[in-house]
Amino acid sequence: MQQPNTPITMFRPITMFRQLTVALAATLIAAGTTQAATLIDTGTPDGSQFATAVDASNWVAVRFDAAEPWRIDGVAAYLVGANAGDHFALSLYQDAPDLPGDLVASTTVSFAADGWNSAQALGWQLTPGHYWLGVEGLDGAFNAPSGGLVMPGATAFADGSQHGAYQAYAGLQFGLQVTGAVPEPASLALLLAGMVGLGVATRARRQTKR
Amino acid sequence: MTIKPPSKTLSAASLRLLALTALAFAITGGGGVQAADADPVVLSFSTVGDSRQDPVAPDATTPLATMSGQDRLWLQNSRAFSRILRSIQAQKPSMLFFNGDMVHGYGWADFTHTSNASGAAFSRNAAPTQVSEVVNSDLVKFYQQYAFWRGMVAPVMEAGTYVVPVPGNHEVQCKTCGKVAKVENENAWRANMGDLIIDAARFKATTGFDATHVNAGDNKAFDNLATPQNQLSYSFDVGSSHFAVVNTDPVGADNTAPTAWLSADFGAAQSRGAKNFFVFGHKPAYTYLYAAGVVNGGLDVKPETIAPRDAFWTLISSYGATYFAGHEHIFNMSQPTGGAWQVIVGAGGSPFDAKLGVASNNPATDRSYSWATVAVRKSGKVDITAYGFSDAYGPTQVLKQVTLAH
Repeated sequence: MQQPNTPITMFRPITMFRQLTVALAATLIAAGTTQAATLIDTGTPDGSQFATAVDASNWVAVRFDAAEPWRIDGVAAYLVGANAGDHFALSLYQDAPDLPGDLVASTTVSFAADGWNSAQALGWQLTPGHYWLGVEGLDGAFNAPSGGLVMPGATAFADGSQHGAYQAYAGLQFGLQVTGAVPEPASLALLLAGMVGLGVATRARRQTKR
Repeated sequence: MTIKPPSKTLSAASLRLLALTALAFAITGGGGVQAADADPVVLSFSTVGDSRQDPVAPDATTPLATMSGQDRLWLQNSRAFSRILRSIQAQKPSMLFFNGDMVHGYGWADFTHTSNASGAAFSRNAAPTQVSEVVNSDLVKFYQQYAFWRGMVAPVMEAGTYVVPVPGNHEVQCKTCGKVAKVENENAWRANMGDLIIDAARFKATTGFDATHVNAGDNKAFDNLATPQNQLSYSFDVGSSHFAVVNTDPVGADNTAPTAWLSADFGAAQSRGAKNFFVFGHKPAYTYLYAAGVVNGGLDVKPETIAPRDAFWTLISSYGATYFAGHEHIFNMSQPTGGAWQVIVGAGGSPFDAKLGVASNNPATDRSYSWATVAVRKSGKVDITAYGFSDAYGPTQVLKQVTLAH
């Protein structure tokens, strides 16, 4: 129970708590410092396997795991065969599981030339978990060359049937690069310190209240 | 930025994320830099054949017991063919050449004949008095099956791809009659496909291109054929590309192509500036022998058809033409004599020739539902890309790609 008639004795602990909170907030902000990273890189296809068609009817997707908070800044897909100016979408899905589930974000990319075609400055923030990235034709006919790639997880495709839903399909390959940022190790240590500090402050506040 | 599909729900946080993404997209111009294609595609078309189902011996992956009532009645492989059509529609070619066997047919297209399911025998009633006798007649079955197929391809036409039909043996031949072409069947073809061959106004409205120098009249005299061949063998130009359709089973000359007419037709097209020549027929000039024990079944089916086949192929080769065919329910691209290409895309849904579990020469593609899409570039180069998906309906893949330089 709070004592309303003891303003002086209460003033100091509250001030201390506020100061601690500000310090901890600063620590947590500092902990948010990240480092640029290549999050996914399948490699460049060597053409040793059949390419996969990507168009408004045929889509491909791959699952990946974000073991820690990710910020996805850039996604590139290796596509060939379309006309400059044709469009495809790069779509981020939640895990259903084992298939693409709810759409998290999507961006449209204008095809420039055969090879890596990317979207940048995405700023997609991901909490740790399983996700899917889909390469989905909007207009034009793309081919996604295959062979020699290391996919980050299970794969799926859609062919326009079954309400356009993705179907699991093992062994599918297509070139994908994802860049972004993950928390720096030092920042993680700061975050841990901040959390501990927060716990100490909370405990101190409780003791003061008593 | 797109949000799809509509059935998926987005959280408020996701929407905020999408809004930021849209801002980033607007700032960065979409993450891609548009570049002018140095050699743009000026015309494209797709081609496939043989979507008809079999009432007695469907493929092992689509057994009769599990076939939909729809496909049993109208004898189409709706699942495979509609998926092919969806993909073709996405590729947005200006034309789709269908290389024959769009119907099971194979009977005698008049109301006095009724073939049994296998086509091994038919009953004849010269003066049917019962409605069922008429409804079950080969004539009505032909018309039913044609109508169903026309309905399947109608959305493709509406989406900007003009459908160009090629007669196959299941359209013009009668199995019970000894696998020979019948004039009644040729008439049924014209009755059900004639409006497409070639409606220049609709072609223009559908594709934006002019179909010029349409030659769809009766040219039977060139090859001394027995019956009128109007709208069975025909040709037209689009830009500097010349397209010819040949009936490979004319009455009285089954398993041959009208080479004399085609020669005159090619000559006329070349004289007016045609640079690319594309020919579409049902039966391949050279049978793809996909496994041990396979015998010739194309224009090389009999010893007496070899010489006409050779003359046909010499003509194809001399003009640098490409020949697209069906009949064999399989995919194969080859250069039979080292020059001109023969492209067999007869796996549009009909039971695969390479039977399930039987070793074949190209197991990766011999049981793939397949089609080809051809791009004619401004330079005159031609890209032929064959697409397909497995009998297990896996992802659509590029089976083969070649570029022809002119």
